[in-house]
Amino acid sequence: MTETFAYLDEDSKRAVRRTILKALAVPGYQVPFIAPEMPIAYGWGVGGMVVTASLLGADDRLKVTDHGSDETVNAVNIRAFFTRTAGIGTTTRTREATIVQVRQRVPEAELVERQVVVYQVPRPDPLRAFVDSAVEAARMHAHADYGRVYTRLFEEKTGSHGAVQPGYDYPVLVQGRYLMSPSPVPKRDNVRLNDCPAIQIFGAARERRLYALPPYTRVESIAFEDVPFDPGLPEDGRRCVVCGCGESHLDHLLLRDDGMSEWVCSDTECCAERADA
Amino acid sequence: MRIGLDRRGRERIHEDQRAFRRLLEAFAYPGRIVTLAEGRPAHAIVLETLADAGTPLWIEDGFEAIRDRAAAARWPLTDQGCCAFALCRVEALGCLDGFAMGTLADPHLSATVVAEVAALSGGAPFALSGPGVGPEGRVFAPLGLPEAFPAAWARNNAAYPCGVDLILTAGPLCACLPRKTKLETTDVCSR
Ligand SMILES: [Zn+2]
Repeated sequence: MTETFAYLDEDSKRAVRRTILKALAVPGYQVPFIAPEMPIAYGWGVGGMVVTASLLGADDRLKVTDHGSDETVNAVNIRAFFTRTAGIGTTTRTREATIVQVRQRVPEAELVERQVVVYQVPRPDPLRAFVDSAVEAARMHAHADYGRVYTRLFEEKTGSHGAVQPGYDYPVLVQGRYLMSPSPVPKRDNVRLNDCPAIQIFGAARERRLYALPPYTRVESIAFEDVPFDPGLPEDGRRCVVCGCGESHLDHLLLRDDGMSEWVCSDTECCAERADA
Repeated sequence: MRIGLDRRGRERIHEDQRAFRRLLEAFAYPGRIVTLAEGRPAHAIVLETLADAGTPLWIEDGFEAIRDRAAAARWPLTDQGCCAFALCRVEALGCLDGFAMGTLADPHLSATVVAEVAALSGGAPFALSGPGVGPEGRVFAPLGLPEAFPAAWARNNAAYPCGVDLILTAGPLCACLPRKTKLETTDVCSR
C-alpha cells in the first residue's frame, strides 16, 4: 500500500518541487509542468492545491481564502481537504499561517519572510489575451518582445479601440524582464506583489504552468511614460458596512430597499480585525 | 522507483518535506545559510530530495557514497553537459561553461549545480543583490571558492534568463546562488 501525505504521491511532489526551484530562479517565467491529478475539477484550484500539497508538512499552519474570504465554500473545502489528508492545522490569521493559498486576491495583511503565498491561476499567460498562437507567445516571452502588447494596452487605455482597461488580471513586468499574469486579482492588488518579503508561487494546472516571485522581487504594473498605472481605486466614497473602512478592496454586498449599494470588505480577516478594534 | 531506499516509508516522506522547505528557504533568500537535515551531509540531502529516474546526474569523483545510492535508486548518470543536477567539488566552479545553461525558450532546462565547499562563512565576503535579497542586503563569504569563480559567475549572470543555479554545501549546511543573484566583492565583514 502506498502511503501518502496531503494526497499527492512522493514522485509527483518531487517533480513539483524541482519546478518550484526553477521558477524561483527565473522570476515571472512560466515553467511547464505536468500537474498531477487532484480529486477536484479544474477551475477549483487544482494548480494551487498541487503546489500546497508539495509544500505542506506536519508543522504547517494553512490559511485558505477565496476572493479574500476564509468562509467561502471553495476556501472551506480546500482547508478541509488538507486537514483530512495531511492532518495539518489551519488558521484564518495571516500572521499565524506558514502557507496561504489564495484565489483572486493578494492578502491584505502584512506578509513576512518564509511565508509562502500560493495563487490559483486560471490563465497563466498574459499574452494569450492578445496573441492567438501559443508558439508566438512563447517566442515573445523568450525575447522579451512585448511591444505589441504595450501598444494594444495603450489603445485600450486611451479608448481608441472602445474597450476599457481591465480591472482584474492586469499584467505586470517582473524584474524588468518577464510579463506575468498576477492571476485575476484586482488591479490595486498588483502593488502588493512588489518587493514582498514572502515567497509567492503561482500554479495553473489546466494550462500546465507554474511560475514564482522570489521575495523582494521588483514587480511593476505595465504603464507608459505619459499614462501612469491607475490602480483603479473607487472614488464614490464607498465604505464597508461592517468595519467602516474606505481604503480596503470592497465587494458589492446587496442593494438596500432604497436602491443604495452596500459594500463590504473582500478580505474578511482584515475586516474582522478592524471591526473588533 | 526508489527501490530499496524507501523502507522508512512515512518517516521518509516527512524528512523529504522538511529538507525541501529548508532548501526552498535557502533558494528563495540567496546566501542565507540553512541546515537541511541535522547530522547529514547537505549535498546528499539535496539529491535525495530532488532527484529521481527522470533527472540525469553528473557526480564527480570523490562522492562514492552518493554514486552508490544513485545506482541503487536508478538515478540515471550522465556527463557534465547533459545533467539536470551536478554534484561536484568546488574546483569545478572556476568554469561553469560546461553545464547546460537552458535556452531563451526553455531557461528552466539548465543544470542545478551542487558543490561542496570548505565552509559557508569565513571566506572573502561578497555583497549579494538581486531577487530574494532584502532591503538590508546580504553578505555571503563562502570559504575555498576558486579564484576564477567571480568571473565565471558574472558570465553566468550575463546569460540571464539562461544560466546555472548553484547550491553550495558544507556538511549539513547549504546556501544557494540562483542565476540572477549578483556578487560584488566587498570589504564588509560577514554579518
Ligand atoms: Zn470591513
